[in-house]
Amino acid sequence: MATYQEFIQQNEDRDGVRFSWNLWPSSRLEATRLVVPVSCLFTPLKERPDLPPVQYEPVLCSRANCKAVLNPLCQVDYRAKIWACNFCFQRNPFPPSYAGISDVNQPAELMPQFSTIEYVVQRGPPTPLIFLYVVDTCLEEEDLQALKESLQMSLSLLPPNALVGLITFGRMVQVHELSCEGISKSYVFRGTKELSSKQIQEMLGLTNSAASGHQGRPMAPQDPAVTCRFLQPVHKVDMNLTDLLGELQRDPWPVPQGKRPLRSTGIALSIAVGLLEGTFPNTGARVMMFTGGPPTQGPGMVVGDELKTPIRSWHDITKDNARHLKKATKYYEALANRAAVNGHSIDIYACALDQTGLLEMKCLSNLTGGHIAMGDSFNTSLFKQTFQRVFSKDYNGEFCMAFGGTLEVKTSRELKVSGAIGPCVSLNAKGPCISENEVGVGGTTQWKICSLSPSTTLAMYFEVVNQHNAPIPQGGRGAVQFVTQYQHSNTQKRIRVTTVARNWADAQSQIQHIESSFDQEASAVVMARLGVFRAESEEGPDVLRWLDRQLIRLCQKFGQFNKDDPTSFKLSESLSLYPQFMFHLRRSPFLQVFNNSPDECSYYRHHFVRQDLTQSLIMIQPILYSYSFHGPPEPVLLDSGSILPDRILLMDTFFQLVIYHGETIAQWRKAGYQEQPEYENFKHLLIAPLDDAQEILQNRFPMPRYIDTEHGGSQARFLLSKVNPSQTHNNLYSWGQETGAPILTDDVSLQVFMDHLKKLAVSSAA
Amino acid sequence: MEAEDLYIKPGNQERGWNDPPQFSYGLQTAAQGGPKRTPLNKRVPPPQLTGSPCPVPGAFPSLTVPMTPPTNPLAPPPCSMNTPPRPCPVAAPPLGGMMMMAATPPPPFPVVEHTDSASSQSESEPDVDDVVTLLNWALTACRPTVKKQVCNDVAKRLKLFEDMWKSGKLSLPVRRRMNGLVQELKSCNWDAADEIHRALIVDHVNEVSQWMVGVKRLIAETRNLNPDLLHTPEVDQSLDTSSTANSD
Repeated sequence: MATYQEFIQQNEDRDGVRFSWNLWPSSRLEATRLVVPVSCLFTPLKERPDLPPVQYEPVLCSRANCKAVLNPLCQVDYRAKIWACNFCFQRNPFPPSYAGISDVNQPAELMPQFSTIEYVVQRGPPTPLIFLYVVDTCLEEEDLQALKESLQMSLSLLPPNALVGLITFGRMVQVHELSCEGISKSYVFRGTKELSSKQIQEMLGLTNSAASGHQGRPMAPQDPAVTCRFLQPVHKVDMNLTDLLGELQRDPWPVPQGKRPLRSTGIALSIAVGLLEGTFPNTGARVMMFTGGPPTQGPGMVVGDELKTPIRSWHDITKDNARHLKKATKYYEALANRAAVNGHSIDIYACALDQTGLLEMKCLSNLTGGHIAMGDSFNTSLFKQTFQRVFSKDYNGEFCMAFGGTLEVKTSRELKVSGAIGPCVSLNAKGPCISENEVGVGGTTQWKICSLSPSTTLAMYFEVVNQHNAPIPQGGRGAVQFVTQYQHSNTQKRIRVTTVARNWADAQSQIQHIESSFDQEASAVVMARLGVFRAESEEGPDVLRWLDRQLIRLCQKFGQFNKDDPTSFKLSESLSLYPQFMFHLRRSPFLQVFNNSPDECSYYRHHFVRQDLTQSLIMIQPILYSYSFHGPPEPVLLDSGSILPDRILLMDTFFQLVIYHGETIAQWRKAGYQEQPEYENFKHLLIAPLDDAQEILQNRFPMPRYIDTEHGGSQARFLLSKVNPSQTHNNLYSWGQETGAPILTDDVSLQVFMDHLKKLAVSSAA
Repeated sequence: MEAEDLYIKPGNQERGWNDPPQFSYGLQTAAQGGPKRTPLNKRVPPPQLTGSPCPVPGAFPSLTVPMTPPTNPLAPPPCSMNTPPRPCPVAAPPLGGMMMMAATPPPPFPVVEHTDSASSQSESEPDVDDVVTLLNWALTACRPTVKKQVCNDVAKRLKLFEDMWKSGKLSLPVRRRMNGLVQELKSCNWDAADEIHRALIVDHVNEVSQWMVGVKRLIAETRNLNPDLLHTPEVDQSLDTSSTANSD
């Protein structure tokens, strides 16, 4: 129904929420029969240029185990100045400052258009943002030079009052003292010896008051910036730090033939985390680790220094032949959890031709909301621009990064929270809204997201707990409230509150209405995140079987068909794209790991479980647009039949942008027709996909790879491997039609998949 | 910002396979926070579910349009026939680099908006002494209140900048944009000056990294000064001299 599309879009635009179902089944039993759980994608800090924050504290429900925030769903008695909490029904008096409110003079938080509202609050003195660079010096000269330049450049991009620090590592780990004058000093640590947080702080001289007043000038009592010689305001140390960076040398320890450099990544990170723990706990901070190869010594090592022992592959892992995997993963998980507890995030910028150990280290970013960027070299546009975009600003000129986020979810009593999947950790907050069925990070109604951007999106899973045949709750609507507290990049503390509601419906009598409220795009993504979450702990084939089973059940429930007659099978419009999403998800690098290295897989999954809906869908099922003389650019089926000689195709997989010129177009281009004035329309045709590609290239984080290819080109494989192989060398001549390009593969095609699906869905034996 | 500052360079194909093109700082910042065009996010359901008989994808153009190239198989259709219903893009000012990106009508492309009256400046070669004089004016104004070490550090970098310019080590865009920067400094447009410094360090880091941080610091310190200090007799005097180094 067109109206549901609009409803869904309006809600996403205003609240950053997309539910799988927009009418909720009123009993637990019926909810399980719907196959896709009641769940949503939630973007806590969705860009809202039209939403000015209010400068007062939110009003809370006074019940101790509720504390929901006043919102447009609450009943209000303006004369008695009392409001009723819509979650627990407690009646609360308004605070004295609300004495003047009336139904013609409402506070913003009661108005329906402010279902999402942001408060600026005072919570102690403002604390600066902190950026701690952790830099690998075991790089090739060209790479080190490019990295140094990028770091020097970044000093001009940092928020002006930010604190900055530098740790370099190779065989040893050096913590650099940043002073404004005199000789630069550094503290050197062995790269093999594990130290406790306390030991690190002692060795850096941070644990006693002798550390303060070091510079010989009077210390402001509450000024943490003075007490730490290793984390100084960038506006004070920028010149010295620029010189220090400029003078960085490659790790001086010689690397013998046949060996890898000794890289003490594990100790370097442990020192970084310990340093921040000791000096700035519970403040927004970002550890930014730049590395050009795998950790090869000390705790957290991923591979030894002998080049003849390659870094673990999927084959090694399945054969249980990855010596360091478990221990290294455990080591980094412990570090990640310590950082997360303190609200510190960890970014990994890994540039190398071989793997760098992202499989083991990914938790550092996944648990803290930090970034992972993966490239071939620091001297590439992909790294340089991805890194620049970390510091990008929004329409208001403010940085697109937020720190120290905590998300709390409240639900009306018919609904409970099963869990969340995304870049977060549990805060283990107990409460009445917690479901016993854990999904993702569950057992809590509060999560910590140490670093957030306007696109950071969590998938949240709910459970309907109403008993079957219990009457539909009074008022007929269920509600969910999301409360996100965070530190804005301008150091203000803010609270964003989003309160949403959906109608309950009796699945027995209203199944068609519930069906038309299905958001197939949101459902595809929440199911995909579930699949990826499972794939991290289960065997791959089990996840595929589970995914298939859910799809078949959904088709059995909602398909229109005559029993045992596959040709009669139809799906309504609200579900028509869903099977295709599942088909492409099964083939995607998120679930088909063997085409990619373990590091690549970790990289893809890292981005998949944090992006917003539109980008997530692109990752599941790449976008394909066709450009031709026959009309304006149009979306086409991701199918080999879309590859035609007189078309240019633009494919967006999120990680790659491919522009593919059909055979005839390629010939015309080679002949140079675009240079001739009478063929100017051909020139425009060639440029059109470049224009659209440029917009994507300029905005996406991380920067995608860019492939310009044509029929017969070696890079055409990127397109050919993504399109469904509807014509293979097996069935080319049985089609009887010669449109499209044959693909040489034995993958199952969409047609075969759909035929099987229809057969299974209509079968009375199921 | 001049039109020449909005450019796209190819990526480093030697170090990174399929390295994407590199956008200048000006293009990047214009794209962020600007209104987006209609995103490419539409999909097409497979025909099996909508009831059409066989999958001939991309077949949504009308049946009157032939699937094979028109009359002359060796050439594309010339402009006079089959002109697609697309508006002719606005011709772009000369863009550096190997990719020709035409500026199209929708707002996000700043190329048209930013060719302002100062475009005449882009033809003339800026004068090194003018630029250095203005930088030293600002430094002199800072000397009374800003720490000596800092001022000397800045002075050192300004000298390096001047030397690099005079020995021909700085490209024209850098020289031109530094001229623009000092003009903004002179007019006390601190944010504009700051933005130019940022654009320069992003777009030309290998030319400017050694000394640009001194300029950055100079802008930061000068903007914090009591405005009276910007026009004391010593300071104004420094504006008139054409001497270069100015140390205490």
